[in-house]
Amino acid sequence: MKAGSSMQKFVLRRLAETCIVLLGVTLVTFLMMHLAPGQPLQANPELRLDPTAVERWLQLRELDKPLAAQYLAWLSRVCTGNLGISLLHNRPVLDMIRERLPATLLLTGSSLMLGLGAALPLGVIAAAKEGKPADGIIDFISLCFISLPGFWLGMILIMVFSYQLKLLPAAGMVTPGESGMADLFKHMAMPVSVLAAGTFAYYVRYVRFAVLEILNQDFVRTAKAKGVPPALILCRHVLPNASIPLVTLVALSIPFLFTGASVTEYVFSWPGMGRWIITATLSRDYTVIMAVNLIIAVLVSLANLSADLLYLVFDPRVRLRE
Amino acid sequence: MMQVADLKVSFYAGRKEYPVIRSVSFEIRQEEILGLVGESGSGKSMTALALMGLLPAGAKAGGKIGFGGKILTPGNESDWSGVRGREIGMVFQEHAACLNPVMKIGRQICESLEVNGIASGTTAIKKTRRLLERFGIEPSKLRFEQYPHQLSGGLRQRVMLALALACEPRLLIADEPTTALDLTIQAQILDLLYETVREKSTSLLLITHDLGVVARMADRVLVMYAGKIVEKGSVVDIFRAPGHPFTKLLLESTPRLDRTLKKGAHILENEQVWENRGCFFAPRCTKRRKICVSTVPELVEIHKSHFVSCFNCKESI
Amino acid sequence: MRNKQHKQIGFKTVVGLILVLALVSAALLAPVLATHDPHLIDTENWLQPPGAGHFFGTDRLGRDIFSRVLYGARVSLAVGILAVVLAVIIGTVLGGFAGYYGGLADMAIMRFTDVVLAFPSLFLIITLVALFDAELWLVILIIGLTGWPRLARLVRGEFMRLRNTDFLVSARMLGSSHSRAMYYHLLPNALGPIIVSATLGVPAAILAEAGLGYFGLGAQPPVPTWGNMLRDAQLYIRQAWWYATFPGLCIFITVMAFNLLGDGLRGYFNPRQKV
Repeated sequence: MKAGSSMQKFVLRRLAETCIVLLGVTLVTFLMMHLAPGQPLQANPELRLDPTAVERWLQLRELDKPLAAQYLAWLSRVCTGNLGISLLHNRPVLDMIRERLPATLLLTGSSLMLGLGAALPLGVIAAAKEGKPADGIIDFISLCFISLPGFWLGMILIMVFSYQLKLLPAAGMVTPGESGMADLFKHMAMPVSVLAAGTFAYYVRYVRFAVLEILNQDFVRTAKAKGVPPALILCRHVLPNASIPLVTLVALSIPFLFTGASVTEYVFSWPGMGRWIITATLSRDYTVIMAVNLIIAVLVSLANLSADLLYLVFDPRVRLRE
Repeated sequence: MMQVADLKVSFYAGRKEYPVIRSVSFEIRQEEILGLVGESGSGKSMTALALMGLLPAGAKAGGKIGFGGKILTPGNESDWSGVRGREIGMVFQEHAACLNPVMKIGRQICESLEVNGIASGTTAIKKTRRLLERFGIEPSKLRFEQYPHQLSGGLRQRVMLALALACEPRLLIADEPTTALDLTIQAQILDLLYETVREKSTSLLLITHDLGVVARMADRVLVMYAGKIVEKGSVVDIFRAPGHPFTKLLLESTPRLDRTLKKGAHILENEQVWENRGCFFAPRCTKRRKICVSTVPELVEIHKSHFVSCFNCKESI
Repeated sequence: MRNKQHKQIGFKTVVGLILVLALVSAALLAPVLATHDPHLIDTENWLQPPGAGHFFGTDRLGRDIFSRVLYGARVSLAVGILAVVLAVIIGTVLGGFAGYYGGLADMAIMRFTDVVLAFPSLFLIITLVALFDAELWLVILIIGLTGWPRLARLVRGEFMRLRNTDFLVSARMLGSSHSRAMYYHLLPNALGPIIVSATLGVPAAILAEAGLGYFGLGAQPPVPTWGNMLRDAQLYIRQAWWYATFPGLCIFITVMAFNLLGDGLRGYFNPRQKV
């Protein structure tokens, strides 16, 4: 019973903290919009708006009521799933998200898999050969990728592969008139490369660190003293212990699936959520900005919570505390 | 049974060399318990690691180890395959992380048997059960399925012993096996250790800074200081007629019920003496002479099988 | 006995430091090193490839890209360094309070950092800069305000770790006031990780500033920033490869330099740690 209660206390505490944070997040999102100078739709000068019409429109949207009231109204709407209407496109935000999300997930999902897929083995190698040339090379490569501005890499790739070599299409997700996987892959190749380079660089360092931490533990030495061959040490002793922090790493990557590709989508005109958010932000589409920022922040908080809870599930030391 | 010849271990930071073991030669005989004493920093743990080929990365080693007809070179990893675990077992000081935290105790012992080709499958499990019982890790059925963190320090150390001795190696190296444990548990573990090595005629290299442990268990003793062996002899000789000033200091610093502690005798600071052209103990020696600072004393047999490296000692005999 | 890892100044630190110093000097000496006036428009010479007189070529208005890049370095480095300084100040104060006093202050500050960290930093920066129509100083402020939570967590961790050490307890018993304890005793010990975090924060700030320029936010043309130069260059990548290559390359090298330095420093301050 004792084990249950201390774990329960921990879970409850984390849940309470997450709730506070979520509340704070909604407050911050709301305040960001409403305290910013200027009016909605201001960034679009083409819309020559009749002042009375604007006033009526503001009234309709309840944008003229006191802040606190607006906040509560908005909060209750959000909790029931109504994320508002895009000011620019005049369509429900939720629908627009649903339309664009798959495209984004395609990009982020593939690059996450590629990045992790490369980072895991290479991170393990770098840790195992710490200090030797292999480690140095991997470290240098990851440093380079981390230092590359994503949008610049995208531009360079487009320059080389689209215009010089004429191998890959410069923009968009599909070529009009064409369908099929080959075409999709050609469009995906560059943006996924850009994203995967970033994720790889980030993860390989993390994996290396996690594995090194394990390698320096005494039980690895004990295993060696028993006569366990290196390959088995890796499989049975190192990786299972390293999987705990790595699983939490994956959990914490969930928000990336949604927003990680924003700049890349913009550069490659990929019809996903990221590009849409950026253009919405630049044109001050308040509803969209609020809704999306809120969703992301909620996702991040939940991802953090789940990472903590995963530790509870996977680590026998925590699970079986007597 | 094992001969260590001119073992040297150094670390390098950039170009600078930091020697940890300066040149150590000794032998371990069949069925004997050899005690290795010294302060922290004297190089005794490094010696243990060197004998297992488990020196940390960044250590450069020299010398040769003769064992069971083979020559083992520390640093040459291939020499050690088939030796570790099977021929030589090692027990470390108890740390919280000395056993794999996500692997069950029973599995960890089975692994030792499997990897060295002693047993596998259900035979291994049966043997492990018996080992658990032999080493007092009871109830064996329950403990088999438990994880390291569920066991007390003393129990964990018993598991370490079981792990090291599972394949019945010819030599067991124990590096401060009881230092981290409570006194009563210490006695238990030491007794267990003594019984098991005597029962299986295993040789034991017992490394400790605690003279009481040595007096209780060892047949012969090596005294190490600053990476060198300064005195070698039977436990009786060492305790009754210590030759080297450092050994004398060690003995005098041990509190005894029948004696009052001599003033100033227990000032034993841990100094890393890196550069010294003469005897390394000279800076702390009360009987220091000119020759002590300029020349390194050799190990000289002052008595039958009793070796000391000290200029003063030679003369006093 | 474990071998002690001796502190060494590694290769990375040296290379990183040299590069950083070189870049900072280049930025400071921009008026001296520039071959042309960065604002000088020369439409006859527009989109010239790199060659005699124009090391990096010219842009769409005939301005010399090399000179513009040098002046752009000023903006990027200024924003990067100042934003980080701001983040360090806020983060150290808040994190130190939280770590030292614990309890309610700690909880409140930590929730606050959680809230700020819940927003992806680039998003937050772009959103705030766009909403507030931020020019240079506001940009620095905003980037600094998104960067302090990470540092606050770090400082809090260090203060908590050191809070119970013997030397602090004895200092307090000897009569040190709380603030003196924090300032003289705890802070110097936490300095190492703070320096590392700060150095590694500069690349993030520079990349953020470049991103802003790329989206048309922050400092506006004709003020040259690496970001807005890339924005201009995008229209001409087909004809003028040099337009996009050089500013971006500079971003890359600058960010790389700080990353090298930060990584090297991290290796220096905690020999056995990372991340």
